Amino acid sequence: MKLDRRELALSCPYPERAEYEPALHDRIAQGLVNDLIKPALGRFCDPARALRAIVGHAAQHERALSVASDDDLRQEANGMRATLRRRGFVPELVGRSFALVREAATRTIGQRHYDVQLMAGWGLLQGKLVEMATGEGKTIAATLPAATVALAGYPVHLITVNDYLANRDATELAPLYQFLGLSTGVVVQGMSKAERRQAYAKSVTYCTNKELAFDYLRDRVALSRRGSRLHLSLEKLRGHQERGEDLVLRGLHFGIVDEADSIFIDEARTPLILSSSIGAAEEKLQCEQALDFAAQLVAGDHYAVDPAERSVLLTAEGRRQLGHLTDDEHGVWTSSRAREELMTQALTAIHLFKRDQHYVVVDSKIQIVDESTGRTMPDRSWERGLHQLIEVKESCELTDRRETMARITYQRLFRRYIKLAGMSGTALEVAREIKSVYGLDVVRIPLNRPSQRTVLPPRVCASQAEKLNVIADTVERVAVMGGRPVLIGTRSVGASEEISAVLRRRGIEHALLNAKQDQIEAEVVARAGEPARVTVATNMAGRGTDIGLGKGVADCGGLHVILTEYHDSRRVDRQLFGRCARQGDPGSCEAIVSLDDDIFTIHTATAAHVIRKLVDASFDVPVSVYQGLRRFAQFQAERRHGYVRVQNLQLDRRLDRLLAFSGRGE
Amino acid sequence: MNAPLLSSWWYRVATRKPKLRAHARLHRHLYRGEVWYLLQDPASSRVHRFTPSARLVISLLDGNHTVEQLWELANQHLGDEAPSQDELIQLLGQLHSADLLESDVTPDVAEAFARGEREEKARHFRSYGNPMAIRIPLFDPDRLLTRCRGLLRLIWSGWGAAVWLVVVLPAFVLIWPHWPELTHNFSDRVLAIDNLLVLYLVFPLIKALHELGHASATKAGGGEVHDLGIILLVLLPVPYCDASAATVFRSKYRRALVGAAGMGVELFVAAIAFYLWLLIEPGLVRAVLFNVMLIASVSTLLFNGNPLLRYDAYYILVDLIEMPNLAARSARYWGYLIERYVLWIREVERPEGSRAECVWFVFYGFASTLYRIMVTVMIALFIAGQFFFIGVLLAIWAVAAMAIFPVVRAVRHLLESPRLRKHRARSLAISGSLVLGLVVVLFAVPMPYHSHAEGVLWLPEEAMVRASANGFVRELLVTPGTEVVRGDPLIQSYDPALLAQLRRNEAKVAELEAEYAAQFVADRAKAQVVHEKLAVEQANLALVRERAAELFTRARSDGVFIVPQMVDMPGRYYRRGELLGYVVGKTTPLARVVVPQEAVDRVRLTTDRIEVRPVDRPRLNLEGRVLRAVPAAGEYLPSPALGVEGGGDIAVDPRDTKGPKTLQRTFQFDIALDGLEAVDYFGQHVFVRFDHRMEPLSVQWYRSIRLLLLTNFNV
Repeated sequence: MKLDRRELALSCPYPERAEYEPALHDRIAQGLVNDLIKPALGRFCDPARALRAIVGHAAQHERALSVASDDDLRQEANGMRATLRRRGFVPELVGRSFALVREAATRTIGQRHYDVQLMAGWGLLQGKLVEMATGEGKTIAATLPAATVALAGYPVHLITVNDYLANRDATELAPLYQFLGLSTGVVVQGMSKAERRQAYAKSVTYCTNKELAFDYLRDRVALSRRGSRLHLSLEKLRGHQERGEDLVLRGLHFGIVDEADSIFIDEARTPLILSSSIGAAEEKLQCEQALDFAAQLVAGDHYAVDPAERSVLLTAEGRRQLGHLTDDEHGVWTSSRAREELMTQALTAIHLFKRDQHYVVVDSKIQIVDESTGRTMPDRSWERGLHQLIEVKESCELTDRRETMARITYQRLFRRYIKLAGMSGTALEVAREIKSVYGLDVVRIPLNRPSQRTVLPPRVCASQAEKLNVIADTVERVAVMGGRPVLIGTRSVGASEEISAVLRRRGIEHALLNAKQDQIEAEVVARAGEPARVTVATNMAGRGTDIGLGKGVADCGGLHVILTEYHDSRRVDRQLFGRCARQGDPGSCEAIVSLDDDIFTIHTATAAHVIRKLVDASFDVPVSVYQGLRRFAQFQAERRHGYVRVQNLQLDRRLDRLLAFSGRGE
Repeated sequence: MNAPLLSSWWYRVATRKPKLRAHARLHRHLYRGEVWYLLQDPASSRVHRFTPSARLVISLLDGNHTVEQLWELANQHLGDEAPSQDELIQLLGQLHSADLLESDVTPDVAEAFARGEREEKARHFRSYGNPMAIRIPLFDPDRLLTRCRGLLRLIWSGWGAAVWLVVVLPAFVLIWPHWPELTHNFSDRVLAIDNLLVLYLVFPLIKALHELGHASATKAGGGEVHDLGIILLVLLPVPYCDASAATVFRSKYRRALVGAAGMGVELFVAAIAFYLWLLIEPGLVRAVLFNVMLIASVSTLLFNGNPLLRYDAYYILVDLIEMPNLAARSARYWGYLIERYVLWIREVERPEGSRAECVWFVFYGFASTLYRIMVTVMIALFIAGQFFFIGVLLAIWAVAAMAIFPVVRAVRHLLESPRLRKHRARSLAISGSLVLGLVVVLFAVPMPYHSHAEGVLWLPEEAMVRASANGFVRELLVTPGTEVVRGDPLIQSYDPALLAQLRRNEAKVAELEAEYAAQFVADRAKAQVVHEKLAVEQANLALVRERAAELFTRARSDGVFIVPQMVDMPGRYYRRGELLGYVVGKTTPLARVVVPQEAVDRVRLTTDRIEVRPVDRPRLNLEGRVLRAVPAAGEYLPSPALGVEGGGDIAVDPRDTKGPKTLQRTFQFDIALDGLEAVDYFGQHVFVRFDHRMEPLSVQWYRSIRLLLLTNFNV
């Protein structure tokens, strides 16, 4: 990997890219290239076409490799190592390496890489974000650059969204890597430090974004001050070995991020915080009091809830009232600032965080639900006492207040990779942001086989009840009578339970999948393609798992996907639709939504209201109006989220400057 | 809006033990009864202003307390006034970026370098960013000043003030008797080329004395002055000095004194120059002294003495009214007013300030902005007049700085400000509709459009009494001043030649008649010939008689007969058509209007309505209509009253003796006036307004700018 010395970060224990904030003229030039020149060029020549060259390079070696014995191939792989390291990733060499990996894959896991996968692999190796439609074999494609870079001796991280996928991919692909003389490791939740260290020491490491980020943070905290390589080497000379031993990672050399859009964009809104517990005795009483006082305040008069901004604002009247209520209290209540803050948090806990939507209660513990994936995030907790307030609200055991030790945003973490690549099914919508934040170009890889997906026009109902009925009707028609499998995607755990209840009432057998059943969801999803099978799942459940069609299903039309609520982002909708009609299979999808879905009521309240009035007056609203409403609502939502992300990034930079007196940050 | 009390970044600072650098000095000041603390960094000569609660924290920055302890102590002592964690971090960060903080950890060296680079860049930008004022630092005068500190103290003490008064006050008294001498032909003298050169050489010297005034007053007050250099102000070198050390002076009068020191020195110099000017004979030295006086009094009072520009008077004002940072704070207050009352955002936080302070903000922000724009435009126009290319560049720069940058900033604020986030749609809608309204008003709404011209009240032709034949006036048949009616004979003239001819013709007719009578019986044929001759002569006689009858000049209209030069008239020869007098009365007067070339097209083609106001009755508004228009441009004015020397607006060539000849050609219009019965005084000024077809303002402005460029710069 060619890299200017100056691009490497100083005072870090291992290689990573230095943070670099381009100057104004660079930003302008970049903006021009990204917004004007690239789109203009892209119109004339597809950037994916440039990647096709690798197919030819690989084909040259194909015949020779296919007749070689396993041992010869291993020898060949061994021989590649030095050459790759010395000459870098030039197309001819990479072609040879890809051909080798392809041949090895054919022999070990029985899957030969398609040409489009070679193209994707080449794109990844060049540090691009590769957009491949769902089911096109991203995981397999990633083995090409991963093995190539690993052969050159650089540690490779394959980053996925959950432990299950990391585990599955590592296990499935281990024979391939092993054949090439490469070791594989996997890092999942709950592993000890030694195990992690071992896993990261392997040539190729499969891990989740969270584990990686926390391991990185832990490394930084472990070394805290004086953590540069120079410091460590000096200490080694003096005979102190231990501090170097504390490290888990070997450096951020090459990272391939699966489901890149969801990691780069959706999860980038919240920073990752490494914290340690500190005891707190009077916490519980305080929280109880806060919730008690909060219950005595009147919405509208004393405070205002803004669901779009997800914030609560105390009014002047509310402040006065709070002052009266807490007249006789001591401690935190005596300071007006502190009590108003606590009260705002309490009101937030009551009004903005809903059970089964934002969190679930498992074993009388609060677990945060990730809204974009629908999964629980057991390690996370909310900041500033919010977590404790919610625990008290749900009468759970109070966890200790946690104290931040280190924090980092994904934006910063991933930009530190010397080479970063990404894969996603849906990234074009956010290509600009990804380019400007992470510096990755998005390339769309052509389909291996043409798509046979039928997209039905959306159906918009006036109310939730009607929506549930329409969904149930559709399921009856398609699955019960047509014998086709149906996948119903919901936005929240609560919504999937509602749908499940309706289906149960109608006597339709179905599988319910949501964040509460993390362990088996992949198997359930994998079976969702069997004839007449009905699966209700949160949008993201079983992401990364292929839904293979059962026997005879393809003949009666393939999988039918029902979207029940538009997500804030069009990408996630597309991902759900992408679950049907994979790899040239037949399939269909449709959206059955309601005008009082959150996305409409929060982001386009007035317009949705007007349309509902029209519908009530039995006015025939054309579909295009709904499409427009949807587009507008999603645009608004995306804009809001984008704003938060930009703010995060700017805040990060500003604070870095501001906090410079406290030494170097994470 | 209440900011959260706890910060998510606290973990990074909580255990640090920051320490204020040893050289920083803390000064306690009172501004309008409130306590503020000024933290001075003598190394960078920067001064930071803090509230008492921040001071508590700063005073605890001794390297022994952790930040966590600092915060706890602040909470104990300050109660509700205590800063939030974020505010505390902000404060520490601010101190760090001012290089006033030491920490117990290895500092982030990369950040320190990056910051250094940023500051360097910012300094360069400040120095060279504005081509109208390029700043070049020269040297550090502090050691020099320290050496003569005793003297400086004496100068800036009560004794110095006494000497100053003794020198300057008499000059003020003495200047009045010499005022005409000093101001005579002022602009010509000042702007003459050789004088400009002297001015250019003298100006920097005087301004150097001015800056030394600031520097020495600062020194006398105990401050340090480390930066002295020159600013190329519109290519003219002007010295400057950095007297910011004076900001920490305890007494506001002492601070104001530093601000006033420059002007004080200049007035002192001007007074001395005035005395010398009185003593010295005219010559080069006297010219130099005149210029010294001019610069040291007029220019300094105009520029430095004006608090609306950010020169000396501004700082004096700020010190005296105890409102540091007045300009920035008024800008912020205006921002608040706009956000609150134009964009109608309820929850904007009102910038701090008492009622009196707010009045200052409103007034100062408005007046200074307006004044700055005006001055810039005027400077740009002035320079553009001298050097077209540079002037236009400067004008573009000025327009950018005054209009485009603020607009860009405003737009960015609208689009990006987190404060407007919740109301962005409405803010955009309101500002958009304001802009749209403005655009509509400028580009679409037709606005009244006028041209103004001047003219004189003129009599109609029938009111003029003109000599109807050549001849000497014999007598006035009517006493001037009496009523006459049309057809009345007014003046009798006589023409001896005509009379002789009349008599000859009469004689000739008589002769021929006699001859005819004689021949009639004698010779019929001959008689016939004579008869024909007689007919000719009779006709001749009738003609001459008619001409003789014209020697009586008659009134052509009813009214009062007026003769301007009654005494000289009898016996004077008048040619036919020459003006003898007027019959003023029932005839309505007309206005003869002179229209300059650039307006004539509009006046001819698009005039809807004409309004005329005579100068003696400004309340009278008369309707007019064009009676006659002279199609060709003329060189002479109908009346000298329209020329500059006659009180009008039109420049007249003084070399021409024949009459009021204009420098630029003009067009004349006769305008009939409705509703004006009788006028007592003719030839008086009238102001005429031509109402044109209504046009949007943008079109009107475009036309005038085009005309301005065309006439001034030929483009």
